[in-house]
Amino acid sequence: MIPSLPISSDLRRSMLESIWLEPEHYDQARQISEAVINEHNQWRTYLNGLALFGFEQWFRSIASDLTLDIRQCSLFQPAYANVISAITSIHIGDFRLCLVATDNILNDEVIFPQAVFELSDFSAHFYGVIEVREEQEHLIFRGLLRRDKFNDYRKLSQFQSNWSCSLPLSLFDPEPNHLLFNLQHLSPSTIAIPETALLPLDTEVLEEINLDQLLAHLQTPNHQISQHLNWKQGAVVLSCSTLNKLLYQWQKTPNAELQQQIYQTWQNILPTQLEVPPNSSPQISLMQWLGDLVNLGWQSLDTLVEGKHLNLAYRSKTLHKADICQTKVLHLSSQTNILDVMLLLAFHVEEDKRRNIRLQIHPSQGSGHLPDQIVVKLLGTSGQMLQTIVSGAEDDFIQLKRFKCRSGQQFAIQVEFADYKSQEWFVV
Amino acid sequence: MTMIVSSKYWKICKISLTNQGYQIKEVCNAKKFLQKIISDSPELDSKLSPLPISQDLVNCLFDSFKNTNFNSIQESALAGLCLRCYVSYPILNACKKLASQFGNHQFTYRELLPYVLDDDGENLIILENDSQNTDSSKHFKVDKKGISKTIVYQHFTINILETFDQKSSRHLSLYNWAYRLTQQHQELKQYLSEYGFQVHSDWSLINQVNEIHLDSLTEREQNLVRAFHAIYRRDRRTQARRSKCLPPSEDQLHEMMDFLHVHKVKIPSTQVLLKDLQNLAQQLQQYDFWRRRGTPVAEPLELKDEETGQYILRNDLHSPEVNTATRLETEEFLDDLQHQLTVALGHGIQKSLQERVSELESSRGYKDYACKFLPALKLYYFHDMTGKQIAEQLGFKNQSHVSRVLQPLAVLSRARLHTVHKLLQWVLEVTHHLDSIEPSYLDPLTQQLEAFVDQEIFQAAESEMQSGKSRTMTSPYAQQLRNTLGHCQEKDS
Repeated sequence: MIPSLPISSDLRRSMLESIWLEPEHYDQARQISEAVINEHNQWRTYLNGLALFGFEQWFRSIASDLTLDIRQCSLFQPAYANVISAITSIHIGDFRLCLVATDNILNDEVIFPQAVFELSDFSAHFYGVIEVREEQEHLIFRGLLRRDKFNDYRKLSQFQSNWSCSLPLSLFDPEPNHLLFNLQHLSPSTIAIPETALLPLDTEVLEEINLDQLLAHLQTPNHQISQHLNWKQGAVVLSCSTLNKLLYQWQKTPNAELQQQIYQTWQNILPTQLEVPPNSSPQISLMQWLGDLVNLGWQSLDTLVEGKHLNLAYRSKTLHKADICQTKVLHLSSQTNILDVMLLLAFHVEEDKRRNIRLQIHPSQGSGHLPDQIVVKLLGTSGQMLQTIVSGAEDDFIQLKRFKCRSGQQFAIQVEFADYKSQEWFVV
Repeated sequence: MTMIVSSKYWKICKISLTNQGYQIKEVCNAKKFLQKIISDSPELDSKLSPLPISQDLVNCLFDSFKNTNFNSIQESALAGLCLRCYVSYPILNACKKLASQFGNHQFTYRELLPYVLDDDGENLIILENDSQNTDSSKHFKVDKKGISKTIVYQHFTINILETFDQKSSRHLSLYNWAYRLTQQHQELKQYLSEYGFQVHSDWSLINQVNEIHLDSLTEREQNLVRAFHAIYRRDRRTQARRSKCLPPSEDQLHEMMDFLHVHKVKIPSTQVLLKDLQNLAQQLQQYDFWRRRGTPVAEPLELKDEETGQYILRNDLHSPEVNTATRLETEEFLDDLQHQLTVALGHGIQKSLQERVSELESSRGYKDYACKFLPALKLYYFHDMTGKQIAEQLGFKNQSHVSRVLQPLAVLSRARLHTVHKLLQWVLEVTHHLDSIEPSYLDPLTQQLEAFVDQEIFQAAESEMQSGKSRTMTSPYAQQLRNTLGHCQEKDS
């Protein structure tokens, strides 16, 4: 018999990966925790902060050749740190990592917020558990779960869709080194997040909510939004960053103006009735775009760039290489002012022939900021609202989440700003 | 017999008298017996899946162990012996898991073993129903002639077999049953309650109570915890206080009393409140408290039933042994791998030392000690000095400073990371897999390389480091580390 290699080892269990915390980690964690509301969230954010900064130091030390970017993570956005108990959107190259801090793991289970699995904005390729020993000034890396393993687990277990989900610690790989090996040798596409695993957002669920009551509750600091909304409703709120921010501000300092804005945003998200039936309205065919036929008012991005020397730095960042990309200038006129913005629609054809579509709104000059409160909605064939986004005062552009359509499917894009409203129908 | 039957049925984990904690011993009786039953029943042989652990085999052994009427006493006892070998592994794994849950500073799994790993596989034992009491059974020792006599001492392995319900609707496998019983072992839990929480102060324990745990406290206790969190946690956080949690100050106690007053809990004085909080902390030192659950959750033990494969894999128990896709098994390849291991180890140690020095250099609290790291490591590896001696020799403030700077185990762990990684890169290179690969290829490959590297190098290195005062640094790792340190010395001089 050929001498064979051993199959597995459990050395890791007697040699835990321990990461020391430095004084500055405590200072940074404290600062971050100040921004969230109530003691419970603050302590949780504090522990998350210690976990993040300790992890950052450890990671930079072992993998100096990989780019770790924590600036965009949820911990630095108080409105999210306040409602999502994990640290989401840690970027390592093209991978996304989510970490959760815990006091101890004696319970054999780890609680993750559902958002990090079911909402695409917060989901990740890897989920890590870090035990924070605040008193002993160190962290223990407890486990790593790759998204594909989670998907397998989910298929087998009866999963309830709640605000949070409890996962057995045994599901996690106790070897932190595997994070490094995975990052270096796998590509993000091999750990795809299946669309079926994501929660379909249905804005109708908001109609069941009594907004007055909700706002009244949220004025008491100890109330959490999760106590008053079920997860499906919560998912819609979390997916609308403007609304989430407004609710957070409301919890901090409730005032009449905010209340007004919240009502306005809420109305914008609620499903709208279709004004023009799709079959009788003129439609723009994406198929024709593929054949270089372009509809009136639309022009390709390249023509636009040549003509106006626009500073379209976003292009390389957000658009796919093979995108067909067309733009149209919209004149948003309200009683007080007239304002031009640029609607940009890009798509590429996937292997399964579906069109993968990206829609963005930019300032017409290609740089600067968008005005506050431009609402963009994506409507389905029967006029039901599928997605919405509202611009904030400091947005330099906004975009809908990428969506996919089969050939022959229809959708509409509706843009609203003060009393301006336009709707355009597309056929794929 | 085709050796597709795992050795886990005829090799038992038993306590070792040396400092290794446990050893794996071959049980000849069990091995012969297994060979016999498999050759006697061809249908069992054909039914045996290539998996190392087969449900059919467990069932067959279990039937024969429990039903002494249908078999000779001797056979029953031998079937039991195989199962006793089999359950010794989940017992060991449960101990390792428990020790690791408490972190690596208080005790190791080795201290837990004597409570539960008490079977050496020497005796043949059978169970027989008590004629007066049908619920319980007696343990009998069987000698070579098949004569049995009652024994008083009950091995934990036999308890597991006795209480295991094969036909239970819960579908717990024998493996999981053994694992669970070990976790619930009374003396083990007591040990954990006594020693497991030593590293946490009373105040840190109260800080850790979360919403789920709160439910198992009385209303008054819940209010005490909430008051403590509102004031003590707030202050600890805002002062970003590092170090041991101190008892709450008089001011903090007053503020907590006000908080409690609002919640209609009357406490006459701060002394009484302090006493109440201390009593609460005493209660929190019970291991069971932290294992309570608020809501039923996915059952961790039943993630994967090894026998039926109905559930998904657990990472922490043991890794899958079916792994044909990436088996690296030609002699030529193994020779190359051995050679590469030496290269990789040198690289791993070098890199680990460099990283440690630069980590210390960039640490606000410890940068002054960066230059003392290598000299301290030399004293540790060349002269077997203790932390205290090193502190005196190199002018550290105290012993705990030395252990924070030195961290030989962390150096080892980091060296292991870079050694495995270097080997992994080499294998991917020679197998032309440098471009992106599938997780299904990478996972087993990594696991196998880790197991190889641990067996060759790091298992021994870790053991000698953990063996306390009597340690002798003779492992290949220690030798290579001394080599590297020697080179550093030459460069310095």
